[in-house]
Order: sequence, then C-alpha cells, then structure tokens
Amino acid sequence: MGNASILELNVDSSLEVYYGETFGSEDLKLLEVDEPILQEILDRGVVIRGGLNDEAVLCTSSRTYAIKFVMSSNTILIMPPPSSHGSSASGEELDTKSETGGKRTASAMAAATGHLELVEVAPNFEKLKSLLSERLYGEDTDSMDVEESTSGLYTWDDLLEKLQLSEKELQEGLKSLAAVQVGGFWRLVDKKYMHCVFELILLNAMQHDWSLQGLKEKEVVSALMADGYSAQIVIHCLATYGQRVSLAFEAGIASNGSYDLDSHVWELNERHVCLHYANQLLSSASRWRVDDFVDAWQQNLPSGVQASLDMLKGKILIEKLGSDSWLYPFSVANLPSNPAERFAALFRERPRWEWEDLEPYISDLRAPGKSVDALLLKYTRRTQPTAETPPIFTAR
Amino acid sequence: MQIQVRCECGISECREWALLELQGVLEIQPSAQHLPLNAFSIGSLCRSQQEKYYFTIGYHELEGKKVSLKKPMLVLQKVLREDPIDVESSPVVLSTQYPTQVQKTSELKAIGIIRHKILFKTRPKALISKSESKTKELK
Repeated sequence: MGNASILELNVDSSLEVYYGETFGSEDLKLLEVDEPILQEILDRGVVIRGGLNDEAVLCTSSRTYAIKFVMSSNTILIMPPPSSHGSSASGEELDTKSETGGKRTASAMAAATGHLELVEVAPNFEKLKSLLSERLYGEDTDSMDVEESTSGLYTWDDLLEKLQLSEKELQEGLKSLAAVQVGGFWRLVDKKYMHCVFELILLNAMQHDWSLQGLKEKEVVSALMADGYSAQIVIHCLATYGQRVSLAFEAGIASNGSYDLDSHVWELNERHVCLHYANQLLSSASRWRVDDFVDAWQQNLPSGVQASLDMLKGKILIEKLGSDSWLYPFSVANLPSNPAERFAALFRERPRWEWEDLEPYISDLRAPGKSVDALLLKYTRRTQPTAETPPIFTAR
Repeated sequence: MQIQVRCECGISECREWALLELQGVLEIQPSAQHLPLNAFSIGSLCRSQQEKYYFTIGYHELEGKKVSLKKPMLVLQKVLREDPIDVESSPVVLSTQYPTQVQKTSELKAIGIIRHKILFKTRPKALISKSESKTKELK
C-alpha cells in the first residue's frame, strides 16, 4: 500500500481513505492564523498565557489575541501528508504504485470538531499595576530588616508568567507606569518618595545654580547620595522627568569649562517641573481660584520656566461659579482604564461635558479597532443645539 | 502559566496537510463496532478534475471540490508534561475544546500547515448498486 497525498492526487485517479493508526488518540487542535502570526510561530514561536481563572490568550512578541473556539457541525478529517520515511511521496511514485496495482491510501489522523480563532485584544495593564503596587519602592521599604523576602517582588520573567501581555506590551506597560528595575525586580516607586527625590534635585539645582537644561548626572547623583538616596533611583527620577541630551548639546552647554565626557547630562522636562509645583499647590488646598493658582504657581517655579494651565489637562477641572473660575484636582491617572467604567466615573463627576474638557480624560482609552469616536458613540449622547455652539456629551 | 507554541520543523520544512470536510457524521455500523477503527477504510476518494473530487462512503457518493482557506491553519499537537505517574493513572485524556483547559500541556507543537481543504457540501447521492462495503455509512 502506498501513502499518497490527497491534494496532489492525479486527475482521474483515486485512493482509499483510512482511519490512521492513532486515530482518536491524537489530541490535535486547528489554529487559524494570519500570515504574519504564522511566520512568527514558524520562526520563533508564540506563547499562550493565562492563569487558572483567566481566558487563555495567545501572545506574539508584540500583540495579544483572545482565543475563540469555533465549533463546526461538519465532520472534519485531518489528513497528514504521506509520511516522509519509507517512500518519497511524489506524483511519480503514485503512478508506479497504481501501475503495479498497489492500492494507494491516505490516513486521517484525527477528526476536528472545530478550530481556534484569534481575536486581537487590547493589553490590560491593570494587573501589572496591581502586582507592582504590592510593594512600592520607597523610603521604608529599603530599611534592611524586612528586605530579605522577595514576596511582592517580580522579575521580568515572573511578570510574563503572571500577566497576559506580549513582551512588547509588557515593556510599554512598565514604561508607562514608570517602573524601574532594582536588583533584578521591576518596581514602582512610591509617588511621594519620587516627588521627594525630584524636589531634592530641583532644590540642589537652585542651590548650586545648575541649569535645568544641563544637569550633570554625576553631580546630581553625588549630591543626592549624600542624603541617602540610591544612584539608581536618582537616575530613574531624571529619566522620568527629563531626558538625556545628546553629546553635541552636552559639549555646547559646557561653556563653564567643567565639562566631563564620562558624565551624562540630563535636561529636565519643563512640563514635569511645572507639574511638580502645580501638584504641590494642589495638595496644599483642594480648590483654588484660577487666578490665584496661576500666580502662586508661577512664583514657585524656577526662573525661566513658564507655566500654562494647558499643562494640567487631564489633571484638573475648572468650574465657573458666578464670576469666578475655580479649579480642583481630578486626575485621569486615578480613573479606571476600562472604557465603560471610565465613562461612568466621568459622568458621576460631571453630568455634562464639553469636548475640550472631556478629551484629555478619554484620549488614552484604547481598544483594537475602536477609535475614540466609536467610544463616544457607544457611551455618550452628543447634543449640539446650534452649529456654532460646542457639542455637549451626556451619559447614554 | 505559559504554553509555548512553536514549530520544530522550520519554515521550509513544515509540511502542508489537508482537511476533508463533509456534512454529517461518520458512524460505524453496530455489527462492526467491536473492531479497531483503523481496520476500516472510510471511503474512496477520487479526483475527477483539477478541483473536483468524489468521495464514496459506504453506498453514498459525495461530490466536492478543493477550496483554498481564507487564512491558513496550523495543526497543533499537545505535548504533555513528562509526568509518568500522571500518564499511568490516566491514560485517557479528556479533550475539552476550551483553551483554558490546556493546563496539562507544556507545549503545543505545530506539526503541519493547512492551506486547502476538500469540501463536500452537496447532499450525498445514493449508489444503489454498491453494497459490499457496509461498514460505514453517512448519516
């Protein structure tokens, strides 16, 4: 008996289809994939991730897909190609077999009741955030007593094991949460602690008359290490609130002669500097008259830095009471990331939103194939009495 | 937990498999149910034209054609964790189709790519004269 391929069967010839030796004992799945995923599986493989109570997802290196089983009422026989050992399966061989009267056969390896399909899903960073929040890096955490155990600490591999994210998404998530790797573990730095470090950097800059556009890493680190802060956290703070500037620029600012090639130079982001001082004000009083706030804010800022209320988009809301405008903190960072919950929270805060106010609170919502417009359509009702007035969004 | 899905045969090597899809269910006639499955021929497949196939099962003839799949499919094979006790005590694995149940698996191996199927979607035609192979029939 010759093994033959049903797809390469010659026209006008036939073969017998048998149940294979292992039919019924093989556990085979059919997975429908598009070409890029197929390539990735063949090249380097993909990973299915999920805990006991999760719906399993398939992660490529950059994306995450939900796995759906699509049932079929048809009988689907899975037919392997002719086995490679023994005979070289070619059309030539099929002919000789038929001529010698040997019956050509093909064997079904298994029957499938359906196949698996992949549907791209948006990465969910909630769990990442909650894992990393179990043990924040802060002042008290690094006292030596409790520090032996690693519970509540996660390495890159731990996170991949526990989360349903692709590697690229995990990287993005860690970046967007401003996590830092300390001793092999990814940590979130306690906000207050971080503000404290940033405050110290700013104070030191003022004290030593350093330019916020050209902070020398060595100087900053040694100044803060004297106060007991680790170099790693200081650099993390510089990276979070600023960026490393290029060597060319570095050379340019070193006009005072104390230029050192070994030392990196950092430029603090003006916006972050402004936000830092704005946050201080906002935490000192829960409501501010807008004019008072802007005056106080500008006064606190290092010279040369210009504040603008635009910088506080997504962090504060302004409401008009009589002739006065008042502002109060309302931060997008504290809102749920699930669109339905986000809109519910927004409409609890304010029943009616103008687009300009609403935009900063929803621009970060994302779902594959869903634009912000689609989200608005789904969760809000848009009214615009006349063409000139700005549209108002209310709850659906 | 994580389950690797990969292909060991490499890009050029992973071979093309095929699907035979037909309406209805294959049944073994009661008189033959004690015999091992692989003793049976399901039927005879004949290619009459480039894209056209006939599949004769019992005394039914199905007419079908070769169809390209819109998206390719991979044939994945579960590679169970090497746990001898587990295999000994439960040689039968319940194959539930829900992906969340894949936990016993340590890896899924892609063993074939499917780009074509032979689809028989017309109603079977009865072949009155043929009655010798009675082991199967299409229900």
